[in-house]
Amino acid sequence: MTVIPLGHFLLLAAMLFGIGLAGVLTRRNVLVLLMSIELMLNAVNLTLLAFARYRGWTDGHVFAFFVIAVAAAEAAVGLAMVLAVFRLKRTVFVDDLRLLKR
Amino acid sequence: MPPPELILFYVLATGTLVAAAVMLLPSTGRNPIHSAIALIAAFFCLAGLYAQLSAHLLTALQIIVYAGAIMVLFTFVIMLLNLTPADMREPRFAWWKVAGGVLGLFVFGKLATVITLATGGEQPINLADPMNTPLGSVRDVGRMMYTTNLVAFELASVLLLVAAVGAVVLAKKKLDYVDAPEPSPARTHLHRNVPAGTVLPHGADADPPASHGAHH
Amino acid sequence: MLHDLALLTPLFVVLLAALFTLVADPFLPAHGTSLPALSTSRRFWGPFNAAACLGALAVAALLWKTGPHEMRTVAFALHISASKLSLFFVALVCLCGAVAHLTSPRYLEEQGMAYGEYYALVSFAVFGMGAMVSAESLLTMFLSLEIMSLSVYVLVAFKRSSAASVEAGMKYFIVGSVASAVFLYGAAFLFGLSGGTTFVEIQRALQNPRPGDDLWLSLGVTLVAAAFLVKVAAVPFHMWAPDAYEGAPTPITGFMSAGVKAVAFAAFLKVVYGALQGPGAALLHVPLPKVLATTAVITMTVGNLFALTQLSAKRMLAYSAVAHAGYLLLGMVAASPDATLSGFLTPGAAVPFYLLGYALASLAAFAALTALGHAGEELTGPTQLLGLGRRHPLAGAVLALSMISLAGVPPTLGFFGKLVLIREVLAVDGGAYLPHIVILVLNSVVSAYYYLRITVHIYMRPEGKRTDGKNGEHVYIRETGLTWAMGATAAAILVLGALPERAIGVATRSAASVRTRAATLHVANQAQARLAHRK
Repeated sequence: MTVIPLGHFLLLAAMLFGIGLAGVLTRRNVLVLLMSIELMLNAVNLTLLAFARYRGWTDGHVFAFFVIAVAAAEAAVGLAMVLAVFRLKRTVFVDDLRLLKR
Repeated sequence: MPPPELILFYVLATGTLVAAAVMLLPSTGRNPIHSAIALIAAFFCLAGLYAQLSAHLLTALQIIVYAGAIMVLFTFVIMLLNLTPADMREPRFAWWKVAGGVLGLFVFGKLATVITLATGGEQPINLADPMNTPLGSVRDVGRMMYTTNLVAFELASVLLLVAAVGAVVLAKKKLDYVDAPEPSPARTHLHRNVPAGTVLPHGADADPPASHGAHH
Repeated sequence: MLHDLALLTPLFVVLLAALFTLVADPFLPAHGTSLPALSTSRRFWGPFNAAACLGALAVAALLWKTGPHEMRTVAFALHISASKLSLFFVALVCLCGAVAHLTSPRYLEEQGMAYGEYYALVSFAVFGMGAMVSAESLLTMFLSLEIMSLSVYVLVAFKRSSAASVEAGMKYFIVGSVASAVFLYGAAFLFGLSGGTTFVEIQRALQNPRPGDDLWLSLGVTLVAAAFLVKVAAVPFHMWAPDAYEGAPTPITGFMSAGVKAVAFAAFLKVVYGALQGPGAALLHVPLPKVLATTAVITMTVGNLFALTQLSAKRMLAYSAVAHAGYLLLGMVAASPDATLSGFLTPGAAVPFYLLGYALASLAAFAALTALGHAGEELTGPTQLLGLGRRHPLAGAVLALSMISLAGVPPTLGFFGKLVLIREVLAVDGGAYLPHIVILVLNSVVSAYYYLRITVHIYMRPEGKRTDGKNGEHVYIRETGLTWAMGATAAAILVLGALPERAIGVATRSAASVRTRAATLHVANQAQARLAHRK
């Protein structure tokens, strides 16, 4: 009998989510930051699909499908935002965006 | 000898984690292309895991949309920015890096504890068993999408339209009219710290690179 | 199907206006090479979209009055509804949208960004907000949250020639995207416990929980709540708010501080308390009301302390928005379904009613500040407000009135908002939250200082020439739409402040619809059975 416990998938997803979160918090390069967010969304998808498979619920697949659509939309807007910032400030680092800080 | 499925799972999981870690390592941060390639590798490994979960449609989408479309977009933007090594100086060590890492670890620790507790009584099922009907086919997902989740589908279409409009508004190179009347410099607090050149619509060559190294 | 569509008419009205704006805008006279040519051609979209928003508001009011019974308002296989709670907040966000549209046209010209896409994006955002408060499933809620968020990120960064605006958009985008991912992760766990994404399915699953479901529930609710705390700018997660509020175009700041906040709280009510109806609350391991109350106290204190030190009116209002999020979070404690409010007549009305008052005051304040935006500048500094009451009487009066309302001074709506909130929170669990209320009152006193300071500035005699426009004369935006927006919001604050009973009654009825979800469950079960049969 071949088995993979549900917990394995969920723990892997939690690890990816943790890595993504740590990436968002530690890296200051906006591009890598956006990639970390994509990683977090993938952790969500893995969780959804694992639950869907182990419980036999198709809704999880539909949800994951829409997560991918949202990820694409977010990436498009995020990267456009990077371009807009880069044109004005010639930087990809969030720390250089300190005009408003005081 | 563990079953082959389990071995495959461990291989793919290790691959995903290694690729994700490589993406975040400060040494790859010098060149975001390296991070992007690492992320593509992670997405491929994840696609394998989705296949193990019999999510056929999502496996295909993961490769086509994620590894394909989204990451190509990333790569394009990285190329478009044409970053020089001087643009890419990132502080090697700072307290917030440690704090961020610790917080990430803490969140993972909490999640792992709860997940381990909650799946403790879970009976593992045989994924290869045909009796466990796989349900991730295009037909199953498509039927769900156009019946019960119809309204979500329509909302997603609006969302993609908004994203397209937003991206064009933000990223369009040149506004097709003469710019706003120049604000008199240093009149208000908002413009206090801005070098004069930054108000240009595309001032890539007008202002010198800001000083990244200055902060803690 | 037709019945389902009819319930969503308000949303369609706004969506159609957005689409029409987007499609028709290129056919308007081409963008000229000089500013005057530009200024006239796109002015029309403001009133047009505002009319659509007001039309949607009217339809929502009609649905409230004549719509189907509360239990028959769920549509599209339980994914969306037009319940009283939804309609109340749909009307509120339509109002926010209308004010944003009316105040924008001249401001955009002055700031050099008069594009048709702006109006389309505001209408899209209103549509997303309306869909979000109507959502009855995590999936639809998430998608509409994203429609709203993406539009607002772009609107914040809309002034592309200004580093402040673009940076504000970038920061808001990053924080918002992380919040979305956290929300989704929580939603994934709630899916894991129920097998569906609708709130009804989650409730149903909680009636017969399996081992481990309590843990999934706790995990999911914690993550979802954390995401909403980011969206409402509660204190550990408030850092984005002042920057985003200050960098954004002023009409958008008003739109965000009123609309986005209202929507986030409404969605919070729907998800957390909707899902936790009945047996769910007992399964939760997190003491949610306590956590909310503690966060509330910290949020209001930090928000007020920072607001005290701000000189720019725009940034001060950003921190005051944080403080108001704190008051509202305390109000959420009373909206909790497991809170015992014995013998209380308006259970749960505090949050919707307070949001109504806050939204109106905030809209009025930012409409008045919009009038100060001139030739690419934002004249919202302390010296520039001096003597505003003399030089632009309407803007001065409206700003002063909104400050008085935000401070919670008696004859205004803001006072009754605080009163209802305090009364309701005091009734929870036999006065368990008395210390929090004391802190709230102290905070209100502190906040009165900086609100009234602005009011004093407005009516102080300006000394010397310091607030003048380019050529020495006073330049403010004077426009019919702006005047109407300022007048209407100010009138609403006064009228509803004079006769608050009706508004409180409406808020109570809308809040009650969260609590009658259990009854909806039965009808929903039948509807789903019918759907399954048809398949």
